[in-house]
Amino acid sequence: MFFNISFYVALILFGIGTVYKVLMWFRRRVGDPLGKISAPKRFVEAFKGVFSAVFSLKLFRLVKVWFLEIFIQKQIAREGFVRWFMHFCIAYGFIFLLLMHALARYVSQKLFPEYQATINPFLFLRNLFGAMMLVGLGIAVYRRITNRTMRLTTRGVDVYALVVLALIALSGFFLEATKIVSHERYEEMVSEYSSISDEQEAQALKAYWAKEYAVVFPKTPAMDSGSLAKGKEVHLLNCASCHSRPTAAFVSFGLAKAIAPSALILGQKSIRESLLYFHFLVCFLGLALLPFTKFFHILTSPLVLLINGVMDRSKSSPANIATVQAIELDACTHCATCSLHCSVGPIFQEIPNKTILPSEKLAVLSVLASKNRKFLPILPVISEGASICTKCYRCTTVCPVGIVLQDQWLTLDKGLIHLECPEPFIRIRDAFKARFDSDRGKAIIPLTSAKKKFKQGVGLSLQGSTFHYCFTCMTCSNSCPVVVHYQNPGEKLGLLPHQIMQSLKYGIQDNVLGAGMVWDCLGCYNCQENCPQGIRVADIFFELKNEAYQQGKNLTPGERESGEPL
Amino acid sequence: MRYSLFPGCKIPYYVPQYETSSRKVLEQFDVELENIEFNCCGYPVRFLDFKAFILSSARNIALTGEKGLPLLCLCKCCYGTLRYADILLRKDEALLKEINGALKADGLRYPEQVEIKHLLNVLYEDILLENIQKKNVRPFQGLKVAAHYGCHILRPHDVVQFDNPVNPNKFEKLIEVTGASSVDWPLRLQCCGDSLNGKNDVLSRELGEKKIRSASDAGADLICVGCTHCQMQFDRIGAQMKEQGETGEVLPSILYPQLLGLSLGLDGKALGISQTLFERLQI
Repeated sequence: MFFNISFYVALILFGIGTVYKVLMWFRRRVGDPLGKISAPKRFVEAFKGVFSAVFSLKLFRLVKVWFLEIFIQKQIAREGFVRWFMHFCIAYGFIFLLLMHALARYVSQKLFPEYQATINPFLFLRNLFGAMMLVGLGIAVYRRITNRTMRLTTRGVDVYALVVLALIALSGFFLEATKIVSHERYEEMVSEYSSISDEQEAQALKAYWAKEYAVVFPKTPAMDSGSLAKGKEVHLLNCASCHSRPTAAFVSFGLAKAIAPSALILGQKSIRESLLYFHFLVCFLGLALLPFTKFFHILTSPLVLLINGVMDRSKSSPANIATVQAIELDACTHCATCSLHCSVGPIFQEIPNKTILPSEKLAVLSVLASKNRKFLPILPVISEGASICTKCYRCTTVCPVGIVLQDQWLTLDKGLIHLECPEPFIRIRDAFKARFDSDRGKAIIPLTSAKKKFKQGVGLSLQGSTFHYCFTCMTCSNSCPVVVHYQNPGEKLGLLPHQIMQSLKYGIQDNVLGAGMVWDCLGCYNCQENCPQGIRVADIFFELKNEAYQQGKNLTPGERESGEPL
Repeated sequence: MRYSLFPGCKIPYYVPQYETSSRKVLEQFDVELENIEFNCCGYPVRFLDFKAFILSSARNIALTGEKGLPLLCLCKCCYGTLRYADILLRKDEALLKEINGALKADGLRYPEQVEIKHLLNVLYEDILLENIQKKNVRPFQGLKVAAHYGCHILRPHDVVQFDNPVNPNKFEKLIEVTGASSVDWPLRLQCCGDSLNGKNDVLSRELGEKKIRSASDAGADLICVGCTHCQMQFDRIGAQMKEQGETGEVLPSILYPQLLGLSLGLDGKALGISQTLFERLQI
C-alpha cells in the first residue's frame, strides 16, 4: 500500500514535470532571444518537422543514428575507451535493472513465465547489472576528482546524479545481503513454504542453509556430513525450485560474508525493512525529480541526437531551430567534454570566469532565456565568457549528445546585445569614451598622476615605457590607416597616436583610456613599424586596453549608460 | 618535411577551405602535417588580458615543442601572436617562469626552441620557388592578382621577420610562380579592417571597401590573401558591397593555397573554390 501510493505519487510528479519541461521547449526564448515566434506556432512547426522526418527517407538516417549513437554510443568511444566503458556500465546497468528488476512485474514476468528474483540467471544478472553501475559510477567519480577541468565543472546536479545512483545500488546490495544472512527471514520462509514436519529435518535444512546459503543462526546447527546430506534432500524438495545458491549474487554474497559477524543484528526485520523502504524511496525520489535532474538526459539526449541527425538547419524554419535549441539545454548531461576540448579553455587559468567554459556557459543560458531580471548583475560576467569564445566549432564536433553548441553561442551573442550588454570591449570602451567626452572642453584638465608601475613599463611589456622617447614627429599618426581615414581625425578619435604618447609622458593615463584612437586601433602595427624612435606604439595601445579592462570589466548596463562608475 | 599544423579557431567553421586547400597543396610537396589539438593562439584576448594571451600562445608552443616539430600557421594573426609571445618569453625570464608554472598544470613546459612559421614562409623558404615552379602544370595566363599581405606577417618586423616591412615582394613572387601577374596597388600593405568587425563595424567596413576598390582601380582581377581574417573580411565586405549596389567591380578574394593549387593542377572543387571565383578565374 505504502509502496503503491508513493510509487504513483512519484509517477504523477514525473509526468507533471515532463509535461512542464516539454511545454517549456516551445516557450523558452533561448533560440529566439527576441521572442518573435509564438509558442503555438513553434508547436505546429515542430509537429510538421517531425512528421516530414519520420515519413521520408530520413527514417533510415534516424535508424542509423539510433544504432550508432544511442545504442552503441560510438561518439563517446571517440573520447577514449574508459569514457565509453564508464557510460556503458552506468547506462546499461541502469536500463537492465530497471527492466528486469524494478519493472519485473511488467517485463521479466511477462517475458519469462518462470521468472523468480531468487533463481539464476536472474539472481546473478541483478548483481551483474548493479555491479556494472557501481563500476561506472566509480570511474565517473574518479574522473571528476582527478581531472582538473572536470573538478572545476562538477556541480550539484552531477553530485546528485552520482549519489542517487550509488544509493540505489548500494541499498539494494545491502538489502540482499541482510536477507541472505537473516535467520528470521529463513524461518519466515520455512514456515510459509515448506512442509517440514519433524525437528530433525528442520535442523538438517538449517545446517545445509547455514553452509551453502550463508544464513547465520543464533545457535549454529551441527554440520556433520549426515545432516548436510539430509538437509540437501529437504532443500531439494522444499526450497531449490525457488532459490539458487547466493554465490551467484556475487556482490551481495560477498557483503553477506562481510557482515556475517553482526548478522544477528543486521538481519533483523526492522533493519531489512528500513533498507527496503530506503531503496524504494530513493528510486521514487529519482523518478519524481527526473525531469529536473541530470537523469532527464536519458530521454532528451537521444531525442537531440535523432533531431540533429536529420535536421538541416539551413533549410529549417526558425521556429524549429528555436525549439531544438531549447530541447538541447535539457539534453546537456554536463559531461564537460566540450570544456575539456575548448579552444579558449586554458584562458580560464588567467581570467577566472567559469562562463568561459562551454559546459558552464550552456548552464547559464537557460537562466538567460527566462525573463527573470535577477540575472542582470551577472550579465557582464556572462558576456565576458561569451566574448572570449572564438566560435571555433570544436565543442559542437565533440559533444556526445550532438548539441549544436555553435548555434547556441551565436544566439547568445544576439541575446546579449538585445539585453544591452554587448561584449566587454564595447562596454568598457563606451564607458571610458563617455567620460572622455564629458571631460573634454573643461577649462582645467584633471591631471592624474600615472601609477608608478605604469610609467615604468605600462603593465607587463618590456618596452611599454618606450613612449618616453617620443619627440612628436607625428609619423605614427600619419602612417595610421585609421587616422588618415578621417577628414577630422581629432574629433573622431579624441587623441591621435602621437598625442597619446605625449599624454603618457605627462602621466595622464585616465584621459588616454577614453580616447577613441585606443579603441579603434586595428593593431596593424604601421605606427610602430614607422616610428623613428622605436616606440612600441601599437603594443602600448594593447596595454592601455588591458588597463581599461582591469578597471572597468564588471560594468553593468546601467552603469555603462551613466558613464559614472569609474 | 614535417610540421604541426596550426589552423586557428576561425578556420573550422568560417573558412574550412583554407585548411583543405593548404593540406592539398602541401601534400604535393611531400609535407607531412601532424594534427595536435591546439588551443586559441591568444590573439582574441590580447586586448583584454596580457597574461591570458601569453599563456594561450605559450601553451600551443609547448604542445608543438613536445613533439619537436615546427609550427605551421595558416592565419597571420595567429602567426604574429605566437611569434610575439615566443620572443617576449625568451626575453623575459620572470614571465617565462610564471608561464611555466601555469603550463605545469597540463604537464607542459615551454620548449627550448621552436620554429613558428606561416604557410607562406614554408612555401617560400622551405619548399622554394623553383620546386613550386617544377610542379606548376597549369600556369595561369593573363590573370592579374593583387597581393594582400596582411599586417601580421610584415609588422612588427622585429617579431615576424617575413619580408621587408616597407617594400616586400615575397608574396608577389609566390603569386607570379603560378603564372599570374601581380599588380602594384596603393593599399597593398594596409590592414583589411577585420579586427574592428563587431567593434566598430562602420570603420571596419569602410577600410575593407577602400582596399577592394583600390585593388580594382589598379586593374586586378582578384585579391589574393594568406590569412583567415583577411579572407573573412573580404568575403563579408564584398557581399555587403554587392548588396548595397556597388557600381564598380567588387573583386573577390582567393586564398593563396587555392590559387597555387589550381596552377598545380588540383581540382578546384577539392580546393573549395566557390562558383564566383571559378567564373572570375575563367577556368
